[in-house]
Amino acid sequence: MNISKIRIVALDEILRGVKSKHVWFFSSALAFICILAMHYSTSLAFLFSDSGKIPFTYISFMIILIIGPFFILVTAFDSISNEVEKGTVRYIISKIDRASFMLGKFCSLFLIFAVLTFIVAIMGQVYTYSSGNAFDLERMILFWLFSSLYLGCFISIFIFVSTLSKNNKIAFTMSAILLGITIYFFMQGGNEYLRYLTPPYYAFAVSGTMKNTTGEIDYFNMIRNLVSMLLFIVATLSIDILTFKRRDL
Amino acid sequence: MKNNHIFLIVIFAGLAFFEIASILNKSVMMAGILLAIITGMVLGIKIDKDPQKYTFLAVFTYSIIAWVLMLLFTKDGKFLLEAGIAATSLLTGFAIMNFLFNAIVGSFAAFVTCNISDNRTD
Repeated sequence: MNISKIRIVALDEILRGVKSKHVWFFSSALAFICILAMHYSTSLAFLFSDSGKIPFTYISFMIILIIGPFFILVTAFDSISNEVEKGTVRYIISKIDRASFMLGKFCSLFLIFAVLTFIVAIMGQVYTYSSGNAFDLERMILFWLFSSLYLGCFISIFIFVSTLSKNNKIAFTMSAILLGITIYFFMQGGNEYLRYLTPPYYAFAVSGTMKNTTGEIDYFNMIRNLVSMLLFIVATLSIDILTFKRRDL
Repeated sequence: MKNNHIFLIVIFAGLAFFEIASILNKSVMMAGILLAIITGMVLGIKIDKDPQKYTFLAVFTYSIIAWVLMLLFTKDGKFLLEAGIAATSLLTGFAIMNFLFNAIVGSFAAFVTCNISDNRTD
């Protein structure tokens, strides 16, 4: 693994890759939907207990939690399988080692979505300020961290499916199935411990803090879920790299 | 060993493990998912061609057989059958949906195992 090679792959994917426009389009669409929801939430102020304090951060956070994985699915499902299908992966891995290539792919998608969620976080604060409330930088940073990591979890698991697939068709089908399985595990509820394997469990655990604009922030809960998400990403990326190293290309 | 033999062994093993889970008083839903994953892993290693299809069929078959046996031979099943056709149909519908989800989970496990395994034919 080489940092400079990871940077080269990531920059190439972000700026010059064949799919970069496609990824930028879908990530911008996600940010646009979040901003649109925040904009029109003032018309639905009666839905909130205190109509003077609409939780803009919470609205955008819930949108990212619910529809974010679908946007990640359409952008990440073919990140490796496309290269395998076209045969370009053989040229790349002759120059760059497999781990760097894999991490470069992950970093490119992660950076794009992290930038877009940062813009959404700033827009949330702008709407909060324009509705006559003070800036809440703590929640803005927490929103950005959790949204980015949540989407990062999904990027890593869809890259895993993409690594296993021979072509884009299989990759898309299996990614959709995996998303369905994730939702199924998460919906189990109760004491079923399979939900601990799903990223939505950790993200929904902190949604209460995003909603409560006046109360204290439960930092212990925040840090616990943040570390859990980080561990999830590290574990999944490790499995991705191991799988890619084992694959016969 | 032929694929059909493995398929039959997995079905009987699935039924046996379901029985063990019910004796140990474990959550049948949880046991069903874990069993589907184990079935997928076993068939993904053992079967070279279309392990996903075989896993889906195996998980679905042993779940249906277990459900029918439960209806016919247990007190809960008798109680359910006595409750009327509406209640039985409703619960059977929910159960079949659950079996389908378990079968999909098993198929995915087979897909992952088949591709990670060294025994791949491609």
